[in-house]
Amino acid sequence: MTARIRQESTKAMAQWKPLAGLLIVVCSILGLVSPALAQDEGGQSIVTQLRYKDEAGEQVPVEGAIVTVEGVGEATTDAEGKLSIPVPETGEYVVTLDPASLPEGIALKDADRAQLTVLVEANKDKRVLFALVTGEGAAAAAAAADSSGIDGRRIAQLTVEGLKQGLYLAMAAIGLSLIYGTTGLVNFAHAEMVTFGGLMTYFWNFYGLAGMIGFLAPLPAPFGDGTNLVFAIILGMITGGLLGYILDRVMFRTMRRQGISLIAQMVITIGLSILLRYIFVYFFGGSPRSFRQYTAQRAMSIGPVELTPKDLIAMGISVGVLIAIGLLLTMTRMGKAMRAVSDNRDLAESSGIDVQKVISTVWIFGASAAALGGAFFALDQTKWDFGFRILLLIFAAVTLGGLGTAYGALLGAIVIGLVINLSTLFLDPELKNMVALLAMVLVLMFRPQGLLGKAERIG
Amino acid sequence: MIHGLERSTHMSQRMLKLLGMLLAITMVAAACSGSDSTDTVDAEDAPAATDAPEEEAMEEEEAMEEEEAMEEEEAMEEEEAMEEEEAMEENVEGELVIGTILPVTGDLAFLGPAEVAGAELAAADINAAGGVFGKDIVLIQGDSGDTTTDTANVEVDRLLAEGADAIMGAASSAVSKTVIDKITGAGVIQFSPANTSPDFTTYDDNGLYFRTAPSDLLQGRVLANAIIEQGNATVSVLFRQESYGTGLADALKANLEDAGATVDEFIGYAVDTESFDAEVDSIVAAGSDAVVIIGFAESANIVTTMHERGVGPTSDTNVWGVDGNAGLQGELSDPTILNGMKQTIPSVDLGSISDFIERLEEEMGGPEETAYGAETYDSVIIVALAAAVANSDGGKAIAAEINEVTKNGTKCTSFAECIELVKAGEDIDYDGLGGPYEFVDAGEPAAASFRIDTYGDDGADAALAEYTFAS
Repeated sequence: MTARIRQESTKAMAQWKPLAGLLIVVCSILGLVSPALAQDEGGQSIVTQLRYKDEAGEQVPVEGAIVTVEGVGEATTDAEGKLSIPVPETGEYVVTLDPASLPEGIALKDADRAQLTVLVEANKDKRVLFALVTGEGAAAAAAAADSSGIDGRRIAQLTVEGLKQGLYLAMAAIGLSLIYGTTGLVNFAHAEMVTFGGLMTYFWNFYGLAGMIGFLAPLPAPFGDGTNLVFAIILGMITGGLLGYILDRVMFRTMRRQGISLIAQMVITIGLSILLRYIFVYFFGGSPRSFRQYTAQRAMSIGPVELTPKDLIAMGISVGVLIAIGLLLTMTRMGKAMRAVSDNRDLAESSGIDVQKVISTVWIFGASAAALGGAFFALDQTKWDFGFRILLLIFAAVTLGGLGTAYGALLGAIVIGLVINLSTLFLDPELKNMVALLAMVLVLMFRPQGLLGKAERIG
Repeated sequence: MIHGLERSTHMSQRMLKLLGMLLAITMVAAACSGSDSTDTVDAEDAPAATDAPEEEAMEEEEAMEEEEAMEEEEAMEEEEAMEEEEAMEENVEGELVIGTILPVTGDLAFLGPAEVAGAELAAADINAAGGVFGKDIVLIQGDSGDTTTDTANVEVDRLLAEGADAIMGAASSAVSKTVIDKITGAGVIQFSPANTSPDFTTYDDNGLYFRTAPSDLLQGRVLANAIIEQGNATVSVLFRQESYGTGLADALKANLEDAGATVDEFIGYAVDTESFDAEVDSIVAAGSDAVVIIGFAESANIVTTMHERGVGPTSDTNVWGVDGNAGLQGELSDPTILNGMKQTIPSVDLGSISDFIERLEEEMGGPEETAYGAETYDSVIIVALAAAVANSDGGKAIAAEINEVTKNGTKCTSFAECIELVKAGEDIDYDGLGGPYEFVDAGEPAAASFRIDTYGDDGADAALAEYTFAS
C-alpha cells in the first residue's frame, strides 16, 4: 500500500519534471532562483543555515559549525552559515549539530534540540533549523520563558480591551434594557438593530446620501460618493433610530392595541430577527465588510497599553452617551415619564402621560444606541449576522446588570467584556465567550435580580 | 388589575432570565456538538439510479477482499467487468445530473465565484463535446453557506430530491463534514474541489468521497519548509477551531518542530469569534519571528488587529497565510497593510493554464480570486469521464471508476480528447488543469503542486509567485 503510493508519487514527479525545469529556467532568467532550487534536479539534500541575532537584532551567520547526518556524513558551515548535505534516498534521517563546534558565547537556545529527526522527500531540499542565541540572548530567552503567561503589561492591555468591548456592548445592550423596562418586551430582534447600525454606516460610508441612484453617484460627497466615516456613523445612528421608530409604530404599537401577550410578541421578535438577518444578507452579501477610513490605524502607546485612536474616541463617546442616557432617565421629565410607564402603565396613562409617545421615544433612543454600538463594533469588521453572534453577550450583559436599568446594562456589559478578555490569561481563547456566560450564571445564582436590579421587584 | 399586571411583569422577568440561561446552555451545547446534525436519508430519497444488483456486487466484492491478494485482484477485475455489464443493461438511458454546494455566501464566499464558474465551464465543455451517454449533463448549482448556517444541509436535500448523481463541494472541510454522511449514505458521490482536511483520507465514506485538493498533510509540510527557509526560529500559529484549521495547524506544528523551530503560541479560536484583541495580544506578548494565520474571511479582521498592534505584515514580523485566506485583499478596504505577507496555496503554475484563467475570469465577469477554479473544473470532468467509463449514472458505479480515470492509461488533457478514447475502449489517464492527480485509493491526489505567494500593495503579486511540489 505504502509502496504503491510512493511509486505513484514518483511517477507523478516524473511528469512534473519538465515543468519544474522550465520554471527554474524562467526563474534563473529573472534572477530569482535560490541556490537551493537549482539543486533540485540532482536529488535531495538536508540544508541548514546557522545564524543568531546579535544585540542589535541583526542576523549573524555562524561559520565552522559541524552538522552530522547519521549514516551519510558531516559538513561544516560556510561564511554565510550555510551547509548542504546531499542524501542518497528519501526517508528519515537523524541530523545532529555538534554544540562544541559553535563559537565561544553562542549556544543552542534549547540544548536538547541539537538532534532532529526529519523526513526527506524526493528531489527536494529539507530545511532544518538550529535556533542559536548569544550568551546574553540565552539569559533573556530564559527570562522570557519564565514570565510567559501572566505579566502586568498583559493584564493592563487585556483590561483595556475588556473595557472597550464592554462599552461597545453596553451601547448595544442599553436599548434592549430600556425597551424591556418600559414595555416588558424582550426583543430578540435587537441584535439585528446592532447589525443594521454597522451595515448602514458602511452604506453611507461607501455610497453617500444618494449613491445608489445611478445618475447621482458621480456627485461629490456627501451626496454622491461616500461620506466620511464620522458623518456616516451619525447617519447610521439616525437610520437606526428610524428603524426603531418604524418597527414600534408599525408592528409593536398595533400588537399592543390588539392586546397580544408579551410572550407572543417575544416569539414574533424571534421571527423578525430571522427576517431582518436574511434581508441583510440579501442586500449586503455574506462576506465581511470594513469601512473606508480609519481601518488600519496603528495603535498608540498609553503607558503600558496600546490602543488605536479610533477606539479611544469611540470609547469616550460611549461613556458620554451612556451617562447622558442615565441622566436623561433620572433628571428629565421624559425620563420620569419613562419610569412612570415602566412602573405602572395604566396609572401613568390616566395621569396624563402620553404612553405611546414615551414608548416611541424609548424605541428611538434604544435603536439609535444599538446602531451606534454596531458602528463601533464595525470599526474592526462587520457582517450580516454580526449582531446575532453577540446577541447572547447582549442578553448576558443586560441580565447580569439588572433588567430594565440603564446603569445596570452598562455595568453588566463592562463585567462581561472584562471577563471575556481576562479569561484568556488562564484559558484557551476559544472558551472566552463561554466564560462570560458562566460568570452570568454564577452571579444570577447569588443575586437573581442582577447587579443593580432592585430586589423588591422580584417576588 | 394592577396586581395582575405586576405579576405578569414578574413572570416575564423570570421567564427572561430562565430563557437567557437556557439559551446560553443550548448555544454552548450546540457549539460543542458542532456538526453531528446529519441524519440518514430514507431509501425513498435515494435516487433511483442506485439499485440492488449493483449493491450485491459491491457486497460480494467486499467479501472477496478478505481473500488472498493475488486472487483478489483477479476477482476485482471480474467484478468490475460484471458491474459494467449490469450497468449497461439498466442505465444506458440515464442522464448525468451533477449538483454543487459551493460557497456563494459565508466565510469562504471569496472562493465561490471561481468555483461556480469552473463548474459552469466544465459542464459547457462536456456538453459541447456531446455530453455523456450521448446526452447533455445537467448541472444544478447550489450554495454551501458556512458552518454558522444550515444552508448546505438544505441544499443537499434539494439536490438529492432532484436526482443528483454526484455533488461537488463543499469548499470548507467543516461544511463537507456536516453533509458527507447524508450524501454518501444516499449512494451519491461527494467530490470536493477544495477540502484539504486530513480527516477525509480515513473517513468512512462508502468509497463515495473524492477530492481534487491535496490533504493538508502536504500543505503543512510545504508551509513549514518555507517558514524555516525564511529563517524563522520561533513561530506563533492562530487557527480556526474546526476541521480545516486544526488539521492544517497540527500538520504545520509537527513539521515545524521536527525541523527544529519552536512554536511559541498555538491558539485556536472559535469560528464565530467577533473580536481578536485578546488573541492578538498573546501574539504580541510572544514576539515570535513569524506568525501563521490559518483562517477564512475572519483573517481580514485578525490581520487588521495585528497591524494595529504593530505585528502585521508590514512590521518586522513575518506573517504567513494559507489557502483559506487567499484573496484576503478583497476583504480589506486598505490592502496595503498586507504588503510582505506570504501564503501557501495548492495550485499549479497559473501561467501554464492562462487560457483557462482567462475563460474563468470572463465567466466570473472580472478578475477575482481564481483559486480552486481549475480544481472544480477537473472534478466535474473526472466525474463525467468516470460515468462514461462505467456507462452508468449510478453513484457507486461512477465511484468505482474515478480513481482509475486519473491514472494508468493513455494520457489525455481535455474532456473532448478523453471521451473519444473512452469510446474507443481505451483506459484513460486524465491529466487536468489543476494537476496530474493520480488518485490514491482514498480518492485524493498523491502529490500536488503548491504556490507560495507574496503580497504586494494590492493583493498577491503574481511576479513573486514561486511553485513547489510535495508528495
